[in-house]
Amino acid sequence: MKITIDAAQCSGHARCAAAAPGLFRLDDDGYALPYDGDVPEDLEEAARDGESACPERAITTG
Amino acid sequence: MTTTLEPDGTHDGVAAYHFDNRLGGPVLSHQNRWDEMAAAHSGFRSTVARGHWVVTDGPAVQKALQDWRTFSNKSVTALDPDPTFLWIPEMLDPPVHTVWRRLLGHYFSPKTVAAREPEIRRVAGDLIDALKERAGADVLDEFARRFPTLIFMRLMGLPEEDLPTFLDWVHELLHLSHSEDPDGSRRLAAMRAVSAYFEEQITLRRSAPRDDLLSHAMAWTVDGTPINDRDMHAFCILLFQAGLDTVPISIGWALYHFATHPEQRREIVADPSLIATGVEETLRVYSFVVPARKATRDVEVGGCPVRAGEMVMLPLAVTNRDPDRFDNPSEVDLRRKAVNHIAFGSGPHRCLGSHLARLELNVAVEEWHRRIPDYRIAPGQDLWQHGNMYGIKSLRLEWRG
Ligand code: HEM
Repeated sequence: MKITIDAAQCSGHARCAAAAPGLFRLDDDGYALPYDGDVPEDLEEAARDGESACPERAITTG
Repeated sequence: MTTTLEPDGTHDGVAAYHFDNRLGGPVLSHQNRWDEMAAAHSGFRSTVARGHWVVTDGPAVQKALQDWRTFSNKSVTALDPDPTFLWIPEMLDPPVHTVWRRLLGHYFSPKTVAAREPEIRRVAGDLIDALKERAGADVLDEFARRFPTLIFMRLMGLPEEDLPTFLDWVHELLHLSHSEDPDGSRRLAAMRAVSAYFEEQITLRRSAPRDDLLSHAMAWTVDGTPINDRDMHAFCILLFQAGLDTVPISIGWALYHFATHPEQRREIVADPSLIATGVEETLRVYSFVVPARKATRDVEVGGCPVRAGEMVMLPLAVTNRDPDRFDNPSEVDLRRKAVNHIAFGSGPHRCLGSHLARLELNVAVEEWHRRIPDYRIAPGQDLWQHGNMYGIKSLRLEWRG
């Protein structure tokens, strides 16, 4: 599984990091940083939680 | 009392109503009316004053907030398309808006805000401790309005003894009904007083900078030019308007909700880990902010044929109570999986203070229920909510006897 974050759409709600703190990382202002590489299998559910927590729908997993 | 809108003909083929968002109403009446309007229309025309459009399709509201090129913040007041004042950063568009947000971002980031948690918890705890021995109180005046205002004053570096003056100004500026202030003179006087207050605070810091947000901001540059006193002032006025009434309103709704839903109250008392979702859900269900934008070009939105220069109202309640986005949208569900609401807005103007507000709300609900787990709405009140931003006017709770 990969995570794609649309940086133009991210408005810094920081809900992804609240839903899945071990997975999503924020910059100093609270906007999501890109996620490189594959999501470890045991974190796939967390990735989907982060995706559905985003008010801007800026995150896609798959 | 019915709050259903009376039709007022059509405008360019779209249903028109005499819809005046400044008017207050019984508790929850605005939210329920948005549900009704959204069920019947994707958008309508308000015939108040010069007239403006109102979008009532959930996805269309959010898309408009995200599309700053088409929907500008040059005016954010539906009834005033050509304001003579400026609020920073709210009334700026990118790219200047982006510069301000970068400068401010750090001060309001999740990390910076989290560092203040112990202090925020102490302030909340002290205020509730003082109340818990009593039989009851007006929880807006005696808690919800004081707590976030104190935190705000500390953040800005303003003297705490000015708290009562601040609370008075917020009341005069934001809470007066038409009959209390028919010619708007009380509001204007309060605006002048707030203005003069911040002018004085800015002048004080020009001569002797301190270690507070105001002093720091005065040293910033936008496009290589230091921020002048006029823009500094526009920033203070916006923070005052955006930061001082919103958290009190939300705390009021949370206490109202748990007073009227005793089973859910018992659940959060027994398991405080449910509070985080409970807070998000009250923000969503009781959505009280109604942004507006000015169209930069002719565009159709929510079925409304908007012309360049016209104002469009974008009620967040419509997106946040959209049955296509949330099951049982008007119910607070303490175990809802995805609460991706837009109570803090959407797009580039997403509430700068959202992380602070969220923390204050969680702390308020946690500390309150730790000390006062059992309470009810005192009998004999006609609960009423203000227009513009839908906050409860006054809320007396009782917890003894
Ligand atoms: C629960 C409490 C709050 C709610 C529901 C709320 C809601 C909002 C909303 C919906 C917007 C966007 C308005 C628009 O799109 O036109 C906004 C903007 C803003 N809010 Fe809040 N707010 C809250 C608390 C705060 C606090 C505590 C502060 C500061 C201390 C704050 C500062 C701001 C600022 C500066 C903006 C303008 C951002 C910009 O234009 O880029 N808010 N708020």
